[in-house]
Amino acid sequence: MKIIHTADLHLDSNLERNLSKSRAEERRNELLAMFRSIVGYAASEGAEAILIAGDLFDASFISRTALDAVISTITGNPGITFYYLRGNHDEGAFVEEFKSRAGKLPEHFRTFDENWTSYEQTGSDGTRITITGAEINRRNSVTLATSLVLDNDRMNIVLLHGQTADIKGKDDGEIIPIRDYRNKGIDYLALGHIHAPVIERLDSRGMYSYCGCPEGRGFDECGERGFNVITVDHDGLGVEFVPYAKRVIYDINVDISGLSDSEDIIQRIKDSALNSGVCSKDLMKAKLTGEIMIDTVIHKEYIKSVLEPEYYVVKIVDETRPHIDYNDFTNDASLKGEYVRLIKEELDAGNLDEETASEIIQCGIRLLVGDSNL
Amino acid sequence: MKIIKLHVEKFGNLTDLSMDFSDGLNQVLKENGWGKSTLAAFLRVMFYGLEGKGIKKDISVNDRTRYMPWDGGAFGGSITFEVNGKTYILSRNYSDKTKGKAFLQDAGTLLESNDYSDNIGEELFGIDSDSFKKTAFIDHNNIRYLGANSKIASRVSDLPGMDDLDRFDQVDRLLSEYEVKLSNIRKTGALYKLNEEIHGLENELKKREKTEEELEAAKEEKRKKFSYIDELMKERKALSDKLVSLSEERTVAANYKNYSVVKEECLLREETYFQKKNAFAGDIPSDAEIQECSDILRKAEEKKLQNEILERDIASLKNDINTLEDRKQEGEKALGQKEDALSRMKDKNPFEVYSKSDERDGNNETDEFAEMLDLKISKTSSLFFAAAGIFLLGGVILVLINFIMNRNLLILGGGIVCFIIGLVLFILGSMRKKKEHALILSAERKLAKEREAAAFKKQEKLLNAENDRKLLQTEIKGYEERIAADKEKIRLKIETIEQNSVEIGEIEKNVREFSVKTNGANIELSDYEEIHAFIQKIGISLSELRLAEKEYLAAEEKKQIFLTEHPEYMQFEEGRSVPAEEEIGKEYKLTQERITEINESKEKLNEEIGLLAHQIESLGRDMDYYHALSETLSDKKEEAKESEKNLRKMKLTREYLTKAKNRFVAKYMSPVKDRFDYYMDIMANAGILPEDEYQIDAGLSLQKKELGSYHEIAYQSDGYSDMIGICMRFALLDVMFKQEKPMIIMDDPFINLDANHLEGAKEFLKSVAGEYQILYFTCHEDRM
Repeated sequence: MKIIHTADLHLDSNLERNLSKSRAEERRNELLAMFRSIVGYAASEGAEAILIAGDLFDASFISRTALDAVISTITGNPGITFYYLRGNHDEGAFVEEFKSRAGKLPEHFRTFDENWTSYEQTGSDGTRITITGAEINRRNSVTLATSLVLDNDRMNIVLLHGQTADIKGKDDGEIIPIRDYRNKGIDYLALGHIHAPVIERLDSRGMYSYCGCPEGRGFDECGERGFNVITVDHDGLGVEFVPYAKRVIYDINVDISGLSDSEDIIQRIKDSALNSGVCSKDLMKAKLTGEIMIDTVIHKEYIKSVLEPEYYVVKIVDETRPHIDYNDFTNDASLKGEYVRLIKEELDAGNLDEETASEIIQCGIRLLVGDSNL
Repeated sequence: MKIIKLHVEKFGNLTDLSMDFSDGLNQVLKENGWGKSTLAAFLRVMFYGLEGKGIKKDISVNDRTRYMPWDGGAFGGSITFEVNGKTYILSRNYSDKTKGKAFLQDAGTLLESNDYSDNIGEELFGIDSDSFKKTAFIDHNNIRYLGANSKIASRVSDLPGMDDLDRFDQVDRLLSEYEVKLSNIRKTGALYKLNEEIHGLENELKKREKTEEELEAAKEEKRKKFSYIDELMKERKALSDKLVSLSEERTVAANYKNYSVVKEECLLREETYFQKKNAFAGDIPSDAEIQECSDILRKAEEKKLQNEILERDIASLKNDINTLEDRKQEGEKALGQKEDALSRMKDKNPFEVYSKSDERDGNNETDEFAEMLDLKISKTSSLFFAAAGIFLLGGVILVLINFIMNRNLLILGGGIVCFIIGLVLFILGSMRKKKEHALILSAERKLAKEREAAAFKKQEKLLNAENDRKLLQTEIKGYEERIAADKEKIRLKIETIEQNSVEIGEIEKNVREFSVKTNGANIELSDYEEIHAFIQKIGISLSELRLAEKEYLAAEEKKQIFLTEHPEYMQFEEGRSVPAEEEIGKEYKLTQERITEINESKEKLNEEIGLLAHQIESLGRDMDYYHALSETLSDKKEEAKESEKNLRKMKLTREYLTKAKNRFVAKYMSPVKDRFDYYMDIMANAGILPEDEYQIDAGLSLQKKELGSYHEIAYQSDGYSDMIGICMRFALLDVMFKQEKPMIIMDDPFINLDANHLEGAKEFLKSVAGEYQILYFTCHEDRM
């Protein structure tokens, strides 16, 4: 029996923090399409259940479009059992809305609440598994682990949404004390909240995993994204991460040491992108690093405008440092020389740190040579 | 460089004004309001163009606003000047078409010259307008020396890299503007605004906690209400079930009577059954046994009767024998007589033998027999009929009693039983009488036949007179035979009687055994009547028992059918008591009321939940808003942090650039100090200024030593400051213009000078006029 473990889709996210309005809307639609795609994958692969470990939606308010899409996808796949656990973001009225539209929740859509709820899932091959879940909140977070009682003779999957003590999420979530869930007969602890995929051993019997978000939304969610496929048979349980994101987000470092020409910089960025596997459909943040000449001006907007047609989204961050050889300015009689010598004295006197010294030298020099961009 | 002449077409309040100038000091004495300052400005504008673009309303800085003619028409003029041995005519006309663009002509050829551009001032003097105003343009409103700028410093210095220095002011301005723009102190500053925004967001976000609490509270409230609804629904379900149960109970209570009737009847029937059963002290015989007993008793009776009949027959036969003996004797006598008679009759009609008396005798015999039988029959059947009558009457009476007085099933049953017994007895009696009648008829027929035969014989007597003797003989013989036959009959009958007696004995034994079996003890029964009565009684008892059993079973079956159709009554079988209908009714009503209450509560709760849902949705949107705000706040903080970092960087850059600049220009400040000292000496010698100590710092700022420390000259009196400013300007001009010196425009510079110092001022003018062309404007002759 195959089961899909997904979470943190954050449907209906605003996304305009990192993207333009049009791109944000496009990505919102892609996120919705991703949900449908995951269900389609499940159907084509013969998966019999989909675990949604929280944050299916990003906010309490859910747009009509998202509601229609999700509800129609679920109701249109009666052969797949959906296990829906709410997270710290989607505490909205999705379930009530679903109920009011459909009259009652379909039997293949199963929900949880703040108390442990267990369901039996029997596969077409006869394997049986118990799926238990609870929604952590401030009321039950302390006692939840201790109140979990499972039949050790059954194969058990447990759903939770929150952060483990050692992995910090983007926002505050309830803490899941992993050690309290050891030796409870759990074969697979399906977690949500952390957006990067993680698979770790829980105890001698089972493992826990954050499947991560299936589609990254910002430059803090770089790398492959997808979902977990859990395979259950009479011998046991196996987990495989399936990369599935339509667009991968990359954060690449590009060393432009010695370069001063924008075109050279652009080419260096392209080469780095190619080496990193960035495709035209992907989002890329290029961090420019290395040492550049003091009077080199990096035209970020120009570079971005040149690269944008080749990638879905481009962000340029300048983290270069000016190459300053103070010796070059020892005999420089110009104001620039005077300026650098002065700063060197301040640096030597400990009145300035290296980074600040190099920054203000770069700034001052650029200004004196005519760069008015502050 | 010197001004040869000028012509003002229109400029401010000056119109069509021409002036010529010579080398050295050119003094223009005009009254106040004439336009001296305007003229001075005209000279400046001709070289540097109008200033203050974009600041339209401030005439102090907007030359166009200030100097445009009131009629709004074109304004401008021309200057003829000489520089580097060449004379030029410079014209500017500020009209819509030309927009004040400088037009330069070679004064000799009047052809347009491209030696200088529109930026002729800077190209000629090597300094910008600001620098010009700080040096060669001495306006009485702007005499005081407030420091040099980088252009001046650049001109003053011989050091390489002056481009940097030239650019310094722009950089400094850029940085200053950036600081202002990004300021976190000025209200218009981006950082200030950003911090205000952040502060606003933080304040706004303070409400988040409350909103979150309200949201949690609303959710909790909603959850509680849902939970309460669940409880109410459970209670309602229980109450609905209770209503159903009460309805059933009500139906049960209402129908309990039916059950009672059935139950009572069943109990009654059971009691009757057991009564009837207990009537048997011993075993309960079967019908077959009773019947058999009755049959064998009847048989015994028959046998007895038969014996009686046989005995009567024997007696009769004996009588008959006696009679026959008699008759034989008689016959013999008669034979004798007959023979006598025969002998006599042979003489008589043999056919008159028969007499009616013989017939009568035969008839008497028959009648007597019949009478005896009838009597017996009457006797026996009468008993039956009597008994039947009693029972029938008794039955009727009991039924009547039952209907009239007390409906008692026992009485009714008894009556019916009596009636049935009576009928049975009647039937038995009738059967008996019939049988006897049959016997009688048989006997009668027999007798009749005998009578007939006797009569026939008698009639044949006469005819057979002859034969009478024979007949008599035959008769006697017959009598003898008959007597023998009768004796034989008697013997057979006796045999039969004995056999019957044995059988009767056997039967009686069986009957006794039967009585013991059924009664538990031997009952002394004196006669068959009693036995019959006993058997009948047993039979009746058994019938009653059977009936009772049947009725009991029927009642039981009826009860079971009733219970099957109404299983709810099983509880009563199990001993449950039946609540009163009234109680059930009350309970029912209370339950209904409670259900109504629950429904109302549920409706109200649903309304409240609806409101809570709205509230939750609204609060949810608020939380989304706060979430977005929080993200915005993070972004703003990040932006603020970045801006602060940038601001600090820019401030430091500006600070260090300024320091570097000061250090840089300090290298060339000594020539300026020398010339300043020179001019200060002139002033001091002229008694205008005291011999104070001054210093010029790296920024070309002037400071005076007082009380051991140096102070800005801004704190000096106007007169002194002005003079110091003039000295400084000329010191700078001396250093800036080593070759081609510019004209100096002085617009009443001594306006603040004490009258007693004016002579000194004039002397100063004379001394500087030796080096420069001075265009000196004043409104007071004393200052000339």
